[in-house]
Amino acid sequence: MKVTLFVTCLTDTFYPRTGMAVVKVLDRLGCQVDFPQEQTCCGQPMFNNGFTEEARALARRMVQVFEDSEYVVTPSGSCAAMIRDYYVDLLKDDHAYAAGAKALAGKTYEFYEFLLKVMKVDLRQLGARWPGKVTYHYSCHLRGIGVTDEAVRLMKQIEGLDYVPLPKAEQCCGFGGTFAIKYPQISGSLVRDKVACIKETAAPYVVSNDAGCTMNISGSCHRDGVKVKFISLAEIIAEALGLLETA
Amino acid sequence: MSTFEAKNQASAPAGTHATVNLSISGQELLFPPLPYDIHARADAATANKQLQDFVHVATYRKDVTRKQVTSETFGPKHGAFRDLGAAIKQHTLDHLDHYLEMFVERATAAGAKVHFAQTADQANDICLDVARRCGAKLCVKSKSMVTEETHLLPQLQAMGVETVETDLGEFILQLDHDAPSHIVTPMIHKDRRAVARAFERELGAVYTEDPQQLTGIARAYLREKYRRADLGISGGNFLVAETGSLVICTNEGNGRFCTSAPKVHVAFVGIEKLVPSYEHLGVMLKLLARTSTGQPLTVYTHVITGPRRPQEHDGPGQLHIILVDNGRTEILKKETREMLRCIRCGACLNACPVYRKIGGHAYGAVYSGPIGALITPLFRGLANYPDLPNASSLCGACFEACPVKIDIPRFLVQLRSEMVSRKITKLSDRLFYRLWAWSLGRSWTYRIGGWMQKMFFRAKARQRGTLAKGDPYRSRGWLDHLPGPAAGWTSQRDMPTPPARSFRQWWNQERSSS
Amino acid sequence: MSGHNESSQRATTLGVSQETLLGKVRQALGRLAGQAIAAAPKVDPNLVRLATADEDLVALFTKRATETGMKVYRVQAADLLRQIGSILEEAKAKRVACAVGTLPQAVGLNDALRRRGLEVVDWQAQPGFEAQYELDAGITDVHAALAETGTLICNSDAGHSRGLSLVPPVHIAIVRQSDILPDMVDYWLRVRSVTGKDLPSSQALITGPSKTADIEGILITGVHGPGQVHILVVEKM
Repeated sequence: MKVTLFVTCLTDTFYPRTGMAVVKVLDRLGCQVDFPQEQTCCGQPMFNNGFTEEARALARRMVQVFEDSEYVVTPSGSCAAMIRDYYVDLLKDDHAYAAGAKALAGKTYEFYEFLLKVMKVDLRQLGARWPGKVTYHYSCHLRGIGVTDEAVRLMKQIEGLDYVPLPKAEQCCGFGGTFAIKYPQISGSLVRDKVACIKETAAPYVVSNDAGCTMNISGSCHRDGVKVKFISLAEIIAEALGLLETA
Repeated sequence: MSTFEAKNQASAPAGTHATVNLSISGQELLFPPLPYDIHARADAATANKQLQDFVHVATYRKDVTRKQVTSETFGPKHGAFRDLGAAIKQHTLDHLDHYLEMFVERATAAGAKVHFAQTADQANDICLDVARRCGAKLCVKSKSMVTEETHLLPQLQAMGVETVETDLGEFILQLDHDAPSHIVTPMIHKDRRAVARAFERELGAVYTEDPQQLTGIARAYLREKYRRADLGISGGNFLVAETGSLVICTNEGNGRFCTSAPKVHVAFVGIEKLVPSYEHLGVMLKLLARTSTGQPLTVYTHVITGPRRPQEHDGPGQLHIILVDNGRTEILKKETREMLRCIRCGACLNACPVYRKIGGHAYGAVYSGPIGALITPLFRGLANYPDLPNASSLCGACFEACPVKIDIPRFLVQLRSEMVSRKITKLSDRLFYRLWAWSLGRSWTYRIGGWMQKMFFRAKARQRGTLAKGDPYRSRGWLDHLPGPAAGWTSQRDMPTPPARSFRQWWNQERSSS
Repeated sequence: MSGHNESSQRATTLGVSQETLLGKVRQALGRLAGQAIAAAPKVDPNLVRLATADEDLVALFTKRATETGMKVYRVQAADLLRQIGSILEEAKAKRVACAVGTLPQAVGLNDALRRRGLEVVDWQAQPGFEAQYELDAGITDVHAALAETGTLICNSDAGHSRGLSLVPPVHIAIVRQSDILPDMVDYWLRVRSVTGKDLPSSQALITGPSKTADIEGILITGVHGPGQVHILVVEKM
């Protein structure tokens, strides 16, 4: 199976190990992974801030870049949501791109969703083992694309992994892109709530799959001296399968 | 177990005396000087322990109750119910002229007098005229968001009609010269001590903090008002076109008193409140209470069709229904029509992480929370409320909670887009985002941009001595201060730097040849 | 006060005319006067009905009504008066009034109450709520009851005031087993063909005692309406 990676701008720059893990896991599952060098950003920052024309231009670019892909897989639920929830609408009046936008929306998957829905992975059969106690941050944009407990189901397939549910898991961490910068008090207050919930679990690891949320929550932990480690589920799976060295 | 959400609730924490915004009058809370900047009130609210204790806890609990009750009640049908609720309201709005005409005809046939107001002033004038004609001295009023919009009360008072709010929460707010901060639970921001003080000061009651006794004081006081009142004012939750009925949902019973005890009843209702028929009403009622408070139905769902019949012994002799536009026909345009489906259940407020943090008054308008952030800028001018569409993380909790599936995040973005095209967005922002978009528009500028950001962040972290060495794809540094607008980030939390190498570098080194 | 063109021509009319408002609405919708409309969304009773006639309606009604804070008693017709008497006694009621309907009359309610030494007030003697404010309890039958939500439906007519289920601190409702409908859907289907002045001016769907949670979210009953609602479900009448 041919799978094209859309690594996303934040993961590319801030969390490269997550991208590496995704590639290695897909390799292990027998996928042929490619990575088009032309890819940049899905345009969500522009779209969310009302720069619709600019977002549209980036959406067209994305449609072009991934035109020939069979599956597009991304480790970010947020960017997957941008493509799946908004591209079709953004490009519906653009005759050259409307069909392409629909096609891209139909073949784009969040990585964990892809593992379960398309690859029908059972990590137990692959001998996944990762000893450690983790809690998990559910990122809001997964709602939009109908992803609910996929990550949790995968975690439960990993031997030795002790999953502790996060209280108030469905409450936003307060990232929201530039919201975090323009309304710092509100955003800060929200992320401190999230950190308090993380502390309640006493888990040393937080599984967080969206780069934006991770920057926000880990930044708050760092500021307040809360010693927890942040890791993406892709990294855990890769480590659990011996594809990445345990850090 | 009772599904009423408040049952067995633990009493509130003690020692939180600060009351929000006491220095600001109720009028100014909802009608602040424009353009309105949210930051002062929002920041005060996030720093206010009482607000955090009450609003956050109460809304979170309501949200949990909603999820539990809707899933227990509707089960796998929940999606279909919401689809149907949305379709009913959308269909009615799409053909609103038809249903308005039908409603007017049927309500008139049942003996009601229907009035039409395009503006807030017109709606108030109609009501004042009715009050004058019936020689009203004392008016009892049940909760109505529309009368908050039109700011009716001061005008009635000015013409010498004593007007008393009868919903317990609204009554307390009126005594305290405060303003509602939640569509359904208007005094969610106040504690029992504030009530005790207001009753002692304004009613001469013996000071007590016992909610049961406080309620008893209000009951006795308002009973006397009902007895003497010659005018009753209400809002309306629904209008039924096929029968000309007005539907009012309350839990306390004040709605029934205000619409039954006085000889004249005036209802203020927005034109978007229509549903075609009773069977459609049934669907909406099933959705409303369960989504709003987790009850199977509000305690009193009162369906009023015309004034009292000759053979009936009680009920008002006159029923006036004022159909209010006040900006709704603007929202009725295709691009924004969906927002008018709102049935004011308050679920989006309860689900909203931002509302939970800042409370209703921070929105500076009659309608707060996610739905308020949409309709306030449309009612009162986008340029007057530039923060409301922006002060959202677009988390989507509101959309998920909405019983009529209003896609609030999508509309927030739509308003942001309009702000950009109308140049309400600051010039510096417009330049910044366009430059950013330009740099993302080709891979070489994207790569240079990413590299520059990385180098800048890492250099600063190196200066501060926080840059960790080790895994080039994982070890990073931390910044506790960023320049310019990005300082907003570091005012609350640290900023991680990128690791030494990017994913792209790894791919090109390890994979591009294979 | 209205600055609107149409209305200023008719100085006596306040607000705007129906046509003016409809014109604005049609303009926003892009519709013409009298233009045909699409069919309204169909309400499939099978989707919307959350309780069906197959269920034990009395049991479901009892469960739901009890959950809302009302008290439900299942009684035989012969036991009805005794049960009402003991509820009134416990509530220390002295002045009561009853709806005028076939059910209360069939059991001779007024006379029975008088025999127990209670003052039975003729609420019909004067219009409005005035005669009802001093009552300790109001006794009514119902026009229907809904099992799914535990709801009483009390409609106004010549023999049924709006006040008896609202004004006194105690409301006692007599419900025949046959009054209980599975779901609200069934009630609306029943009144579907009734319009205009044939409808009662007031249909009150009552689901619980009067309650509030306005003060710190703490549940208090008996705010404006009755704090106690007692329901007597009579098997056969």
